Amino acid sequence: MTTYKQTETKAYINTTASITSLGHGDDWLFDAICEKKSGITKDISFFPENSYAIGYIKSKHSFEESLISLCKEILENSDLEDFASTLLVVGSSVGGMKNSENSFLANGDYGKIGLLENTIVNISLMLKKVFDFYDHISFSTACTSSTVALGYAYETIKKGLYKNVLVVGADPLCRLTVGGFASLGILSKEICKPFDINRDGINVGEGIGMLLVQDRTLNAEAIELCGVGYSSDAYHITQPAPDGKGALLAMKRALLASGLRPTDIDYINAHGTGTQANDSAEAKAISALFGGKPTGIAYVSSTKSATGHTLGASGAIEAIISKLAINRQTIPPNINLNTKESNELNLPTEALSREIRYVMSNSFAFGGNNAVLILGKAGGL
Amino acid sequence: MNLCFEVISAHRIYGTFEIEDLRTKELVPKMTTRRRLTRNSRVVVDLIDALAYTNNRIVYGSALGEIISSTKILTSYLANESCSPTEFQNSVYNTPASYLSILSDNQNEIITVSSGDRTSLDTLKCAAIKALDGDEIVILCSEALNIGVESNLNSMATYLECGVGLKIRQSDTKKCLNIDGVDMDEELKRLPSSLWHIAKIAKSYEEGKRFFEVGI
Repeated sequence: MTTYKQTETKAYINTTASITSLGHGDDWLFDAICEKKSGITKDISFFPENSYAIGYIKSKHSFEESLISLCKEILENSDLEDFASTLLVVGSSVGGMKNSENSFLANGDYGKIGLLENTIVNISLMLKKVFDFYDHISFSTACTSSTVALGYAYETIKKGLYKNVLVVGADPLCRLTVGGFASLGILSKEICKPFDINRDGINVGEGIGMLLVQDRTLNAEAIELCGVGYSSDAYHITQPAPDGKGALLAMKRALLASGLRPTDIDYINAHGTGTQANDSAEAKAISALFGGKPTGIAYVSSTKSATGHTLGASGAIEAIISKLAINRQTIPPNINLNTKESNELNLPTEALSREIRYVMSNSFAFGGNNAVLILGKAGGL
Repeated sequence: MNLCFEVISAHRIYGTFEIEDLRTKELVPKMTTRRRLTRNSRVVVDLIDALAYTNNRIVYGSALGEIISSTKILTSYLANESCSPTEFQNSVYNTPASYLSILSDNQNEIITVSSGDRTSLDTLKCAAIKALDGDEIVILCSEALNIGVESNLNSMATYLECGVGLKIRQSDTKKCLNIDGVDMDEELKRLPSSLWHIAKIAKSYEEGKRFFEVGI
């Protein structure tokens, strides 16, 4: 029997944890971005004949150990004794591919391909070995995966179905993705330059972002997850619609879900990958949303030149950056932006201290899959 | 908590290695597009045609995603060759759902669940939650596991290519059949376990049952 009732419950991000090429820890991450540091380094380990600029996690711990360690960190900083009442929602584009890929490439054994350790659910299964969750679900929508996971957390809490949802965005680097992006000719050999007229592609990175979303505020740093908007470009399997129509639709739907207007948004954490196609389409969508007027519209920055494009993890990591932007009342800068392509966007190149009420965080993916989050200070301003 | 939903339409298709009677040529007349479709994409294009689809929101599920494309890419790396751009474009889990959006100009929310053995169960849960908004939701689950060589994929199911689709809407009826109470039969057990839950519902629908509930 259906027991669902419409609720007025709100969803709050209370506790977060992350590791990226910039290091371990959210404050470290945000400070590094504001100081215009980048975790991107040149790498030939995947393809010795070609050097690409890549965002590696520099840690003595394995990716799996980092996952478990961050999860413990979340628990310690929460009001929970354990995760027995928590829904685990994972977003990842490659899941356990790294391990099965290494195994296959070492011996060419097709018997090593395909079982569950290869797949997206591998991340949930790793965490479930250590923690007892109420239930779990995994999403894989390429580079929007963990944004979709956060959207699901928002939706289930707003509908009164769960009280605690742990969202995990996680993607390790693997040869399949590095070589795949290389085959598309969109891997940069230098630190990427989102929204620069001379941008030449992305920096693939790895990372983990975790956010505990709850139906209550835990502390003064709690940030409300105000809304989510989804759309599909219905245009091309990898290229975004050049006019940004799908991105614009998702942004409008996120505003509608939040009950906000464009003028309420003070900062946009852009998807901003550094490819010609993405940044051009996204700039058009943002410009259209704000009426093409550069003065007085939200500040826009991409943080991918600092972290690299962490693919399925990027939505979670950028939601953490967006949360910290509100907590610190600071706009993170665009790093490595020298010559702006668009004069219709406010693209800061230094960290700015500003009043920030609401932040929009954009994520776009292969297949024209778009997901946009809006975050705001708990209780409004 | 249980969420009840009504099945409005259902369709299922299976093949031992490949489904032989897919209508891809008829449903995707443009050859340049058709040639790029992955096997999973061909399966869901066929499924959706049978579901009275009207650009609904879609929840797609697959445990192993585009394993055929991933295997081709890794095989090329093993031979010290670069990977095919088309193969890489087609290697992400949401590829079939994305082709559907392109082919039908569907600009709605389309998300992809991949939860291992319980993929179709989680796809149902997710869709039931979304159906609370009042619209009709299309649920599609598929697997395409025939990578062309002997592998441990072959032992995962008798049917290596399969798909099941449902269109559902939220229901307030108290006469729902809990999906845990729907019997598995020998035929369904030949499918990959990731499709068992949705296949059980599709079969029950064919037998006249319409209302189901899923625990969340």
